[in-house]
Amino acid sequence: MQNLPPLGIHLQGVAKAFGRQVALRAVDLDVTPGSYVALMGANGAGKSTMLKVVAGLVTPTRGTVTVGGVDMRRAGPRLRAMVGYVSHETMLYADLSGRENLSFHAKLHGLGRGTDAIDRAADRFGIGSYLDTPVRSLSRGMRQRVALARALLHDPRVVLLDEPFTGLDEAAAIGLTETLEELATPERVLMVTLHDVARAMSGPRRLLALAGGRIVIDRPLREADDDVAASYLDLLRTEVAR
Amino acid sequence: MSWIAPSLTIAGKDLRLELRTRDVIASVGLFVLLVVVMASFSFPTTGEGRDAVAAGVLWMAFMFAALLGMGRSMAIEKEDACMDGLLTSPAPRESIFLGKLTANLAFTGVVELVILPVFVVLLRLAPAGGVPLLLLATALGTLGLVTVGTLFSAIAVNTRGREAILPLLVMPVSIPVMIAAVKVTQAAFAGGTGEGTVAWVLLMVAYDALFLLVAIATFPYLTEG
Repeated sequence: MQNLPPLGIHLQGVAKAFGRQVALRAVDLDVTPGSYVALMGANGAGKSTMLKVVAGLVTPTRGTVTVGGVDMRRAGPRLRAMVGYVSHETMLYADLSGRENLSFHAKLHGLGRGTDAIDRAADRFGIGSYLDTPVRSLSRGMRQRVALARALLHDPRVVLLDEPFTGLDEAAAIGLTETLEELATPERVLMVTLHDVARAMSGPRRLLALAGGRIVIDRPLREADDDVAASYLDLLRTEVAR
Repeated sequence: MSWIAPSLTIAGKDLRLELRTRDVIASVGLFVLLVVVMASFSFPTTGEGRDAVAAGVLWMAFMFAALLGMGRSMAIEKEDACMDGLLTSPAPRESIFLGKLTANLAFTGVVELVILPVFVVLLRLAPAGGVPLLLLATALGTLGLVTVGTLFSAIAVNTRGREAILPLLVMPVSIPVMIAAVKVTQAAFAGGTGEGTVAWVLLMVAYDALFLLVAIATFPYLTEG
């Protein structure tokens, strides 16, 4: 990893509306370096928008987002190089192979062809034998693995993963859980959106639950924290009832 | 970070994709060839006004070729949110534009280089001494058209009817450079410089420079969510 200061994330009064649809409402949040945060909530709660705002892909309607003290609207290449982001979509070119996709992103990140980084990512996500297959021909789960490899290829300080377990079989999901544990180091921030309460209880150290674009639960997590899990399930029941 | 390396990386990726799929070159090349062959049978190949008609037909074909290619080029970034991958990378947003522009110029240039000789032969044109001027008109006209088209394709790609929207955006704005390109091409087909040719060339140079600067300056804002 590059010798760079740890980066914290700070959201102040962040609101985002897409036309009349409000995705985030005056969100205040501090995420310190070393945090591993599970971001949960019902569909449409604002989880993906929050990650996009932090990644600098979406500009807030109001409020400010800073990463490492820098406003993401003014994020330069140096800061963007420290962010790794996975969205619902794979962000992969379907007619290129996994290796070509990874090599392309390695070049954009100034890693040359990225041969070593690609080999490490291939080992980590078990995609070695599929690297030369066009992405179009890969299964959903295998594409997701390549997408994760792409996002982590440059060893980012801020890791933003939007439903990273989507499409993964159980073995790959266990592997990803272990990888996220390895990545949760004091100098790194992990924010991961999840739907599965059990997964949130096995790794993340903080739970943020959103409802209607607001943070309604913000609690530290300990292993098998039944109290927090129950609070979250109550929240979901309320959301369903509404 | 310099703009050059990421621009070339992005252009290289587009060219690799095109070599893999041949989406643009095959469909656009065939379309333009069809236009040129039909034109050769429909328009007079002798007599007064032939050069003007030929220049107009040629640039209409070039414009549609460029529009088809540019629309496809930006659409591949929309599929699977690949543009988000570019925007979250350290590549400066200006270099994303320059990369797409370089690739679009390459695609359009290849199609033009294939079509131009076919067009000259089928319409029995004899540019002879006007060949350098013809190449200059093609280069400057294409640069202006593709610059505007690449910029607007970034807008059109986010709309529902992007194939219909792109020509609506590009055509009005590219009228000055298209008229100039037709005038210079007409002079080239006539065998050399005609009246006002230098002024038309200068107009194209000014148009290209202006829109290149405008596109580089505005593209980062167009990609904001």
